[in-house]
Amino acid sequence: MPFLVLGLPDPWVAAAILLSVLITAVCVIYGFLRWNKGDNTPPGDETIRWAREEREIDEEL
Amino acid sequence: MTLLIVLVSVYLFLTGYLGYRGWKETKTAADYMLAGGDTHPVVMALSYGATFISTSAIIGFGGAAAVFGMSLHWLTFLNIFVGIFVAFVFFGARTRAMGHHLKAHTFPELLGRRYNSRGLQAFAGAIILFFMPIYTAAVLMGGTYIVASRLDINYETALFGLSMIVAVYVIMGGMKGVMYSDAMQGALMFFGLLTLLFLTYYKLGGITEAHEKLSALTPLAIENFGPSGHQGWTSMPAFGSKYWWIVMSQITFGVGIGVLAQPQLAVRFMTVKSSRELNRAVLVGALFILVTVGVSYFVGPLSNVFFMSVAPNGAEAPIGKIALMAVGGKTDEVIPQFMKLFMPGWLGDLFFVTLLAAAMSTLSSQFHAMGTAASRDLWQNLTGRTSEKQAIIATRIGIFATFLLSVTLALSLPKLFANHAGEAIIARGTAIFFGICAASFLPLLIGGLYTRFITKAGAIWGCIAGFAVSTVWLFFIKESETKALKPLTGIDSYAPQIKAFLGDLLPKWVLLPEVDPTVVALPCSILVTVLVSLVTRKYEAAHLDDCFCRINGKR
Repeated sequence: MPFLVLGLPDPWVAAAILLSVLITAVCVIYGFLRWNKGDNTPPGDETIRWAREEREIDEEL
Repeated sequence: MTLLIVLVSVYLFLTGYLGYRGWKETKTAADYMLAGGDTHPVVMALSYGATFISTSAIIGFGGAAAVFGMSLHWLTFLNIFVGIFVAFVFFGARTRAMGHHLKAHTFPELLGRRYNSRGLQAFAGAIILFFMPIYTAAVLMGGTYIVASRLDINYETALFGLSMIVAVYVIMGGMKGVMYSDAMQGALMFFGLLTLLFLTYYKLGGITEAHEKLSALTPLAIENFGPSGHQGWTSMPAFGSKYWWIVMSQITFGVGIGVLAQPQLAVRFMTVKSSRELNRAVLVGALFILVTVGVSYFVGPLSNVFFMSVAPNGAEAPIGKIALMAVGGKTDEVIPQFMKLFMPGWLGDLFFVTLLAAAMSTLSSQFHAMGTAASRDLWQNLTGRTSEKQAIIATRIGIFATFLLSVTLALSLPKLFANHAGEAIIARGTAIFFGICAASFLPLLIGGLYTRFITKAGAIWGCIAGFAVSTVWLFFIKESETKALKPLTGIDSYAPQIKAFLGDLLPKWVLLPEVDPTVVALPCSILVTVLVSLVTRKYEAAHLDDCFCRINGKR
């Protein structure tokens, strides 16, 4: 009796698909749990200066 | 055709409108940071995803999946695990903090300032300028195949038309990366591909039934590709076979790991307003990649069932050939022909616009990277001149030259590989660039963000070693590339000589001519970086303290 998941006979292919879904679930849970975590303080002087320069580069392009 | 014209018009209008709004209200990522408002995480993740996923992934890798089968899902896994989870969680915040503090605006500039080396910045800029056109050509080719198939025109005409649209898009300011335009393109890709997945399985009677039908074609797969190690589209290729090395070393390892060191993706982290946004984007980004990449690797292999046993639109009998044979041996034509022959016209039209969006969003970020490589990383960096006028001229020359090179490659690569049936040109072109980036930049990037150990000499020699081994392996050892380039170079692969030299030292399952350059070049690059760093002068503590001050919590 071959190993069958979703009609797939090769466990290595089934594993790749299941791992893809699993890691997506991990990412979803991670993003959900940390939705309001992490630094969200207003941008500091360095960041504002960086953003101004970035805008100038965009304009040049 | 009417629906196609309407959809394309709506798409172009929306892109133009959002671009105009972006221009009026200046809604680029940098403007968001200055404005102080929150970027919606969905907008941020979709715009990142649209840059990440292109026609290369959908047409090129989808076509490759039609040949190699569902084993390509190992790349789906790596794309999400490495390209989203590792990239956002472990690289995002550090890249952003260090980039802002060091006033770096391009990927080479980040490396150059972290390692205090203008030469390193110039070298990295040159790699982008000379080698990214291979990836740009792959994206262009993917778009061209879908345009040619949908409009029933030849490849050259389609390439000319698409190139003109891209040129206008770039000239009109497409490179500014207006977040809403990118996010709109990402949303279009997400829903377009989700619809394709649903219809593909629906037409085959469900998920398990579809897979069983594909598994039933295993004898045909073995008959056609058995000598290369194929064991069916729902199975892995035989361990150590030619196809196993292509799938695992080139496609999965090269592209899956290489994504971390992609210049146009790494700079995206610097345009994020706060680390909270990075956390939020992990959720949306993973779902986006699962759908966009995953769909291609399901639909590609399943197209074999359609070509074998489903009657095309308007026909009474099935074609009765496997996908690759049905499209004359051109891997990159499988998905466009599958859409044309087996999917309803309205979905074909929607897919056309989806792919146009996928091409535009990636091309705009590529030309952004190549333009800034020409102006900031090469011209301003090497000459020391900061004149805005000269920088603009350098940018224009850089973009024009790389545009011409990309179009020339897109025109000539299919001809160069014309006698190599089953060659996945788009996927291979993408893998070549991802591999070169991984080998040249990855040890420096990880080392630069996480350790104080790497010295200036270690960084420079590691980068040179990774690049050199990568390109030498590509042009002199990797068999498919040396074979295709032989009319130009007159050189055969040196793999047999190396194999004879190594003798029993080389394990039997290592198929040298099929080993991807990254498998050899990345360890070489790591080794050289570490060894040279061990014996050369360390950085002054003040420089390292400065580089890491934001990461260590000091603003």
